Amino acid sequence: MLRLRPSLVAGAAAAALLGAGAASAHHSTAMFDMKKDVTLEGTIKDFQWTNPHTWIVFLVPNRQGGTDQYGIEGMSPNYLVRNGWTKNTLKPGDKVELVIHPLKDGRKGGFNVSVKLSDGKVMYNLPHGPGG
Amino acid sequence: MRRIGVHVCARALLALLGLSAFGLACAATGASDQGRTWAEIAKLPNWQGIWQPEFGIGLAGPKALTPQAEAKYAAYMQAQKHGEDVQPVQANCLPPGMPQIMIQPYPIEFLFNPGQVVILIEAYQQERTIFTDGRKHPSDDVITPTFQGDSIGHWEGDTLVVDTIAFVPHTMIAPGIGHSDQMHIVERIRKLNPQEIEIRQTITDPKVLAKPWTVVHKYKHLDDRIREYVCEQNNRDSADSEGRAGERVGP
Repeated sequence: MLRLRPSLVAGAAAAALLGAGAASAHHSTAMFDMKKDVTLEGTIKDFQWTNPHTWIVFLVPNRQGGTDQYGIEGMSPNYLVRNGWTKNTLKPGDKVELVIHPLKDGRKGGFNVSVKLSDGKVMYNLPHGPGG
Repeated sequence: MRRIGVHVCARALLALLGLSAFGLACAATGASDQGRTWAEIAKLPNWQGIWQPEFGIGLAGPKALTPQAEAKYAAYMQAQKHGEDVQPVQANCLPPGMPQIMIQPYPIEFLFNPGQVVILIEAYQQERTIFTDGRKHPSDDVITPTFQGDSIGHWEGDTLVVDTIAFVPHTMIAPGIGHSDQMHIVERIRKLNPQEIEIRQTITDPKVLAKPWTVVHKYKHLDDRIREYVCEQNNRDSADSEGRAGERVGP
């Protein structure tokens, strides 16, 4: 299921970390809508624990009774491991909720903001508050 | 026992001549406070550990540009409105080089060797070697422009002063602001307290900057190690020749 919700926070810290338009990091955020949060409920197909970005292949049930496959970019494992993640935080088959900044071009992709695991725990892929 | 005599001698010479300590060694003993032997390194400040840049400082770049640079910047801002020049070449895994390599959201580490200070940079797995053995920059004919530039340095007490020139053309001072063959970067590096290192960076480039641009970058101690970063491992992002952003979404 797909829910749309305008982002309550401008995500300035997040944009800064990714490089925003002033792209100092690996790439700019130009292709993502940084002001929008989209919540996706579905199942992890694959979690690629790689540089320069981790990558989530995510299956989301659609109205036709099948699933849509999303490709979601995340921070480097170097950053994530310093913020409580491991390569096993997401495993194939895990049923989770992803919050993403979606791709502007409408393809099934985006940048991961946070993940809610099946036990209710929330893991952040981007800074999420003062000093976050 | 600390070799106080050597230290006093070097500082007295400094005071007398009003010069910085570059290349100056204490005549009496031949020793120096420049980290040119392992024994001398033991007297240098302790910068062990890894240091995470405080992200965002100076990101927007200098404001005081020459008319040429101003025009280029205006063209860059205009191009962005059409979705061009929005994606830097780093998206294709080309490292940014100096100065931006020092302000990536990944830690750095300082290694000391006799006559050298080496900076390991986790982002794009880069390194900078700063020669503190008293050498000068190679002559203009011999020097090769590189991403990191050619770095020489000297110690002024607890501060490492680094002088860097000769950069490949496509590194950027800041997004939308390139550099000429005259770019010259001076960094003053010192540890403020057990948790913080400061790098006071001054860039001069008479063809681009209307006046020297100084930014004070801060780095916080991080309780971790430098990790691998092979950009081409799983890169799905891209920048085309017009700087338009692309991303491969398939598995």
